[in-house]
This record gives sequence, structure tokens and C-alpha cells, in this order.
Amino acid sequence: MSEPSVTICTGKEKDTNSLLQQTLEQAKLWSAIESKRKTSKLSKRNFKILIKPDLNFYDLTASTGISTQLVEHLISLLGAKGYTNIIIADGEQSSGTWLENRDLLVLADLAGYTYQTKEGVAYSIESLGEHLADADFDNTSVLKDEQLSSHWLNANFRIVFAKNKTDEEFYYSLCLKSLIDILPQKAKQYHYYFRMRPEEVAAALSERNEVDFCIIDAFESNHGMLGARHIKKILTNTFIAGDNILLVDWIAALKMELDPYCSSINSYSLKKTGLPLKYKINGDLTIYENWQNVPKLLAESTQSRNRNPAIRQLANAWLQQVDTDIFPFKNVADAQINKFLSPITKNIDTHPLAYSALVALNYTLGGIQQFIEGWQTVFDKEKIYRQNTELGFDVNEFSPPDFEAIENYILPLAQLVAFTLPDANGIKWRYIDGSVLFEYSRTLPYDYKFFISKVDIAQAVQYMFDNIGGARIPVKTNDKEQVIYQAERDIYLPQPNWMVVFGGKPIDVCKIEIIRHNPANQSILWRTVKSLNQSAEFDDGLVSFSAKQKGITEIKIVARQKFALPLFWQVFNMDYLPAMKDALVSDSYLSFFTRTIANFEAACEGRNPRLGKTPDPEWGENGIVNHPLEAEQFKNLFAAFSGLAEKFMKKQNVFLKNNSLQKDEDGYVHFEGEENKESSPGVIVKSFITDVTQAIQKDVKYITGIK
Amino acid sequence: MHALVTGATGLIGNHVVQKLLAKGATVKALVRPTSSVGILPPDSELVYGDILEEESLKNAAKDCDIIFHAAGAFAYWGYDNKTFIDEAKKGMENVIIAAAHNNIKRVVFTSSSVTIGSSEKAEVLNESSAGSFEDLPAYVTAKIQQEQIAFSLGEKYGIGAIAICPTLTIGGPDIHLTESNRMMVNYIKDLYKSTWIGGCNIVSADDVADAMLLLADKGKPGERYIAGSDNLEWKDVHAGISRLCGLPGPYLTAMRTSSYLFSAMHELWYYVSKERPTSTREQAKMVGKYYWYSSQKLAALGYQPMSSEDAMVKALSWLVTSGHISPSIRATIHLNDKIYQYRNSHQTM
Repeated sequence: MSEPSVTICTGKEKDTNSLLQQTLEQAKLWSAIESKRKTSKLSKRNFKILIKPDLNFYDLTASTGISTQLVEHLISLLGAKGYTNIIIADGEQSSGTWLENRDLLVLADLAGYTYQTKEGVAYSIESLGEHLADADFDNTSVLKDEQLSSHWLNANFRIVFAKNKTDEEFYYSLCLKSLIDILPQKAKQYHYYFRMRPEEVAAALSERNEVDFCIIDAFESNHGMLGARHIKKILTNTFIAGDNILLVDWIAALKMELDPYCSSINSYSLKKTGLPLKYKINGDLTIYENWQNVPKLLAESTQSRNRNPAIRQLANAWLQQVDTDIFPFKNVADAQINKFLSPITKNIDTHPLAYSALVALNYTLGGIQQFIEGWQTVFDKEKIYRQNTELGFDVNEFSPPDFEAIENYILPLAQLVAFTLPDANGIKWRYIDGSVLFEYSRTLPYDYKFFISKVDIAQAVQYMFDNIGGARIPVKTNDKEQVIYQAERDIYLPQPNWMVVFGGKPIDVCKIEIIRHNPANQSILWRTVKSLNQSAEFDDGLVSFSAKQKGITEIKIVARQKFALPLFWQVFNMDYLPAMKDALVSDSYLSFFTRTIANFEAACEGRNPRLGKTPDPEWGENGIVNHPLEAEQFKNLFAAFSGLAEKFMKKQNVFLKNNSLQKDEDGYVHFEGEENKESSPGVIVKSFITDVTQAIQKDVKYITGIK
Repeated sequence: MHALVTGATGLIGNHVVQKLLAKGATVKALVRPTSSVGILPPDSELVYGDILEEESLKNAAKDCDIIFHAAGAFAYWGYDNKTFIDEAKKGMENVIIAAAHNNIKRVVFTSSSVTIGSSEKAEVLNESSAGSFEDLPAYVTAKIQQEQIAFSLGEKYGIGAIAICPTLTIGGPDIHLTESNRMMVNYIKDLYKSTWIGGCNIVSADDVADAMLLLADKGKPGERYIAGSDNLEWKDVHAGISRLCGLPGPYLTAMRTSSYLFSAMHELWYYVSKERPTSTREQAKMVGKYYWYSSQKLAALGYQPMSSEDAMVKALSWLVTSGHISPSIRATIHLNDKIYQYRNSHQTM
């Protein structure tokens, strides 16, 4: 097997088709196909080749998607080589939730796909949102419960054909980001950019190694600050192709003069999977002339804005440049707002005011979202969305001795803290290497056997208070089918919660665990092996359930923790105020562990003690259009204000002169009947004032005692 | 005894069904096709119908010798006042007509102690007191008119209609969370742990059901009977909830004005969030009043309710396990030993 390579072909003097042909030949596409065909033992006619083009265009002249002519030329080249079983396939687009004519087949028709090239090679067009089949994703993957289209799964050779363009949120949008489009759900922005983390989704797809070949059309690229939204063509006269998706994107990003790691999507895969150990670059690596990238300020403000799924959805609908003759809006309000905002943002590259306004708007919306998240973290945890993630580490790197060794690490620590005197809050704790080692225990008046029948020790770490998501994978079970080795990733709200005010981030920790099942005692011991966001240096410990006297169960928690502090608290070093630090530590742990014990008790009561709400896994799938969740609240607010305004205007007879005095067919003029007096604004305000006045009078009497 | 129970999946109706079955009665539980019947005992006979549909009620009451009418909304939000009152009256009328149609001679129906009125000062009212009826919420008007219809139609058709007037009734299971249980849930959820001036009388749904069975035997037609327990200041009620749940508070005491203004804000916020307001202006107008009642008349027939604190222990034991209290709030609760003792003695889990 030859080493991975990437080919860059540039040719100002050539036309698009011949440059594409030259690129494919130099990138050895034909030998790659032939090699795979021979392995499959299929004839050329039966060897199924799937092309996944970037169809993200909202205007037929746009350079944000791959041109029909290029895709058909690729098909003709394949046909000329004898490969005639060719399909063009793509997933349904998120934009279909707010625009008409975005179904794949309609989109293909509008783009001019004719199911047969000029050279007579026939092809079909298939939606990857249909004919779903089990995809057998790894159980540690964020996509473990997802399906894929059998069109994708059954293809013998898969080509991703991406456009060379910038992206306001991820800096660039190339093959790896385009790969997310193959997933089945329509509301992709909601499911694969919010319900799941896009970097984990893209990594889960690329790790399957199903993409055999990647092509980036950089002949006519789309650059600028909003390269995925507005038409800003630039002739870069280049094609980039190769057999490794990360490598091809890497080179394309470098040619844009970007750090390939600036995109969180590519960065995650590059760090997780990495580039091939050895690879070849053939061609010119010179950066594109006059290329304009997304400023860091705009990208970061967009990321901040897009943390809210409703705002993400609204921004997509309101900022996208759309040819509304071809793609009408489903919602009149969206159409009107888009008509106002889109032309302003179109000039963002040349108009500093438009740029500043968008950045300011993004940060304002992001700030509101941050405030809401902060509020919810401290006061309204049920409104926080639970996070569905992948495991985040390779559990196969840990052998049984690694799991058994957890006990050797934790038990001496438990012994050490057991000899510490409890503080005023009843918690035993002390410092070890800057981390806090503590023990907290409580007995509950439940029979031990009853308690363990209700509370699964394997879930004990997930029952810790403020756990907001993650993943849990059994690694080994005993002969009674009880889990004895386990791997999990836990995400907790910032600790203590008020750290959120100072920019404290969620605690995100990956752990290996060992579970002991004894007749009168169950325990789970864990060790943190990784913190993907560097939020924790230590988060190790044990939870045990023990039978005490009849009808009593003891819960004990021992843990060693050290979490990263926000910048403010790094500067404002609490070590110089030991008494205050001790009080804060003790209070925080008391609160955290009494609530954790209450969670165990809630589980014993038969409740699910998990915090937060789970994003709807079906949203957008059953004909539901428009905006998700909180967006409806914006609409309600808007409707409430407009309703009040309408009532006010009616009261002022604003409409009388124009609309209300219409004659009917018999020549009668109809007036609207008098409004229900009880619900008219005047009566409501009057009764409100009367009620408040009476309440004040009564309160004064109550306070002064005057009869 | 062959009994028809309306509102059988409600807080009081459900307890009545259980008590009747425990006494060996045959019970028809009137439920709507959409009702959640999981909380009803398996040996209760389900009859589908609606108190607003006369024919379905007549059919349901067939072969019965008594009707316990516990159906009816208890709400301060989400209803059009006129519809609310009309439905309460129509439901009562249909029950009496169904009884007459099936030659049933006795109907025990749930009214409310608020039909006696309230007082601006800390005084105890009884069935013959002339309480104040200032600022009547639709719920109270509905109950007053329901009583009037029951007694007048009962007299007309020769049916012994007896009204039970429960005070603030708490307990579980309570699928749709009545206002009385909501009061406890709201306090537990309240960040500021606010109480307010005035007082109430709290009784267990269990005792109200016992009282209804007692009245079926010994109640005098055309009479109403208060079923309550202890008279308490609101601050004592809230302090009791705090104590039983291991929570701090109450911290703040709301007066009428602050209650009204905050309730108005809650109602306004509803138009954005579409979540039921924590409190309404109708409820706020009840702040500062004393809903203190004597159950002497019923006690004379043998009524022996549990204390209000025991009623709260019983109600909270169920409430904290229910979905009405969110996981994050449940995690802040450190149950008092009295709740464990109650659970252990009643094996409720």
C-alpha cells in the first residue's frame, strides 16, 4: 500500500475540467479506485462509486458549493474509465427547516443535474437521509446510536468533493466539515452542531476510514469574512486532492494562510487521529493571492453567539444570502428580517461599520447566552441542556492491571483522610499537593439490600451533583453480569457554581473505574486519566455503599480533587488568605456532597436524579419547521408586544380610515363591535391600580395597627 | 355499598376510592378516556364518562346507591372565569340529575372551606359564621354556586346532598398538582424562601376521604361540614416545610402589596415563557386573610384528623419522590427523620 499523499495542481492557463483531470491523474485516483475494485472482486460496472458534493448554495451563481458542471465532468471521467455505477449523494440540509426547495432532489434539479452527463454517462442522485441502516459506530462514539444511509454504507468507493471556502465560525469549511452532511437528520445545525459537538461528530465519521478520496475545488473559491454565506468569488485556479481527508484539509488550510488547527472541527481530529506518520505533498504550497480570511474577532464572536441553538438557527436564516425566487422563506418574518440584515452583512469585508456591528451583535447575543447559562448554572439547573459526548479516550490503552492499580492508589488516600478530624461542617479534609482530599459520609434509613437494588453502584459517579452529561462504557463484567471495570467521561457544572461568574468552565474528566461487589459492601473507585478541556488536574476517589445495622445503609465518598481556576482566581491567590480559603472549600464541598447524597436517595426513591434537560433527538424530523425551543419564546414576546401595539392602535382608530370601513357586497359598511370591556387594556390597568391601592391601604393598616 | 366516585383520579377522589375499597364497597371510578388511571387500585371498576355529559353520568351511576362527587378543578390560573364557574355548576347539576335518574338517595360532594369566607383577623370560623367574601376568586364563586345548586336540586329531587368543605388539602398521589400541594412545591423551589402574612388550615387528603365516608353514613342532608385540622399562620406552615425538608427559611415575609406586584410580574412573564405563573393576582389577594376553621361539627360525628404536621409529613414524603420537584431541587432536600419514620411505618417505597 502506497503512503498517503496530497496533490495540489494550479494552472491559470487551463480550464476547470482539464485542471481537474490533471489533478486526479496526479493524485492517482484511478489506481486508488482500481486497487479497491480488485480487492472487492466486483466488475467495473458493479463497483459502486459515491460522490458527495458540497451543495451548500443559495443562489445558482454562488461559489459556496460545487458547480454541477464539475461534478458531471468527474462522472464523465469515471465513465470513460468504465465505472458506470455512480451516485451523487448528500444529506438533507438544515436550511430545509427555514427555506423551501431545499430537499436534495429539488436542489439537484435547480442546480441543473440531469442524471446523465453530456458524454452520456448516467448517474443517480440519492438522499443520505433515506434508507437508513445500523452503522455500527463504536460504543464509545458520540454517534453510537446513530444510523447512516445504506447508500453510503454500501458504496464501494466514496469521494468527498468540497468547495474551498472560509467559514465565519470555523475559519474554513472543507472536506471534514462537509462530511458531517452525510448524517441523516435534517436539522443538522441542531443535532450535529448543538445536540452533539461537531468536532466529535466529524471525528467519529472520519475515524471510520470510509472516505476513499477527497477533492477540493479551489479553482473558483469563496473567501472573505462570511465565505459560507455570501458570494465572494476569487479565482485561485487550484485543485487539491488526496486519499487522506485530514491531510487534504491540512494543505488547503495552509494555502489559505491559516493554521489548520484554528478550526475546532479539524483540530480535534488532528489531535486525536493525527496526520499519517509519513505522507507526500506534490505541488505548489504557495498561499493564494489576495485571499481574505475570517478575523479572529469575528470567528470568536460567532462561536459565542452560536452556543445557543435558537440563535444559531435564527442567525443562519437571517444572515444567509438567498435568491428568494428560487428558495422562498417558509416564514414571512424570517424573509423580512433576512431582507434587511443580509444586504448589510454582504458588505462586511469592505465596510468596517458592518463588521463592527456584526461582531458587536454576536458578542451581545453571546453575552446574553452566557448570562442565561450562568443564571441557570446557579439558579435554574433544569433548564440546562445535558451534553451528549463521546468517551473521549481510548479505553483499550488501559489493561486490567491498570484498573486494579486504582485500588492501590485510592485506598491509602482514604486511610489518610479517615484519620483527619472533621471540621465544623462534619467533613474530613486536607491538602495533598495542592489538591483537596476529603471524606464525607452519611447513613440513610434504608435497608442495604433494598438500597442497592434501587441504586446502581456503576452509576454512582454520574449521580454526583451537577453532573450534566458525558458517556459511560462497561469494560468488563463478572460471572453475575455485574460491571467490574468501567470507563466514563463526566461533565460537571463549574465548581463551585459561582465560578461561572468569573468564566469558570465545566469540569470535563475522563475516568477509568473499578467496581467491587461484596455481600455487605459495594464500592466504585476511579482515577482520572484525562481532562479534555484541562479543567481538572485531579478528580479521583471512591463511593461506597455499606450495610450498617438493620435498616441502615452508609454512603461514603472519598475524593481527591483539584480543578483549574478561572484567571481571576489565579491572580487573586486565596492561599494568602488561608482562613477564607478553608471556609470556602469546606462550604463548597459540604454543599456538593450533601446534594450528591440526596441524589443517591432520590435514585432510591425511584427517581432519575440527573440534572438538566435532554435535547430532543427528533427535533426537525417530523415536518416541524421554524425554530427550536427558545426561539418560540422570542416569537411569543414579539407577538405579545405586537398584540399590545395593535390594541393600542385600534384604540386610537389608526386603522379606521383605511381598512375597517369596507363596504360589503350589499353596500353596507361594517364597524367592529365594542371590545370586551373586562379585557380591554384600560380596564385592566384601572383594576390593577385599584388592587394595588387597596393592597397598600391594607398593608399600612396592618403595619400601624390602625383599624 | 355501591358507590360511584367522580374525579377518581384527582387528589381527594383517589383517596375516596381507596377507602371505599378498603371498607369492602364496590366502587365505580368515573374517569375521562384521557385520564391517567395508573394511580387507581386495580380492583376499582373504571367507567368512562364526563361530569359535563349528563347521559354518561346517568349510565355510570346505574346500580349505585351513593355518589361521591369529587370532580372539579381547583385552580387559580388557566381558566376563563365564566367557563370555570359554569362547568362547576353544570357538573353538580348533572350529578344530582344522574342520582335522581337512578333513584340514588345520597350524594356527598366536595365543596371547600372557602365557601364559609375568611377573616381579616386571626379568628376561627365555623359552618354558621359570616366570613368575609371580599375579592372572590372564580374558584370560590364556583364552589359557592355549586353548593347552592346541590342543595336546591337535592331538595327538588328528594336527594340528600351533603357538602364536605375541606380546608387546604394536601397529599399524594396528585397527578396534576392541586393548588394546595403546589403551595408546598413553590415554597421548596423558592430561592428566597418567602412566607406571607395571614393563616390557613391544613388537612390531609386521607382525612378528607375518611370524612366523606363518615358523612355518607352520618351526614345530615342539606348541611355542610368543614373538614380541617390545625389552624396555622403561614409562617408556621413554611417553617414546618423547611424543617421537614432540611431547608433554611422562611427568610422574607411578603405583605399584600409585594405579593400582588410579584404575582402581576409572574403573570406577565407567562406571556413569554408560557410556564404557569408561580403565583397569580387572584392568589395574592388572599394574602393577609385568615382561613381558619373549626371542624367541631364533623368531629361530633367521629372525625379525628391527623395533625397538620403529620399531613405535611405524609404529603412531602410523596411530593419529593414525584416529578413535581425537579432533580436539582430534590438534591437540596435533606429529609427529616419524621419522613423516614413515616415511610418505614407505612412502607411507602
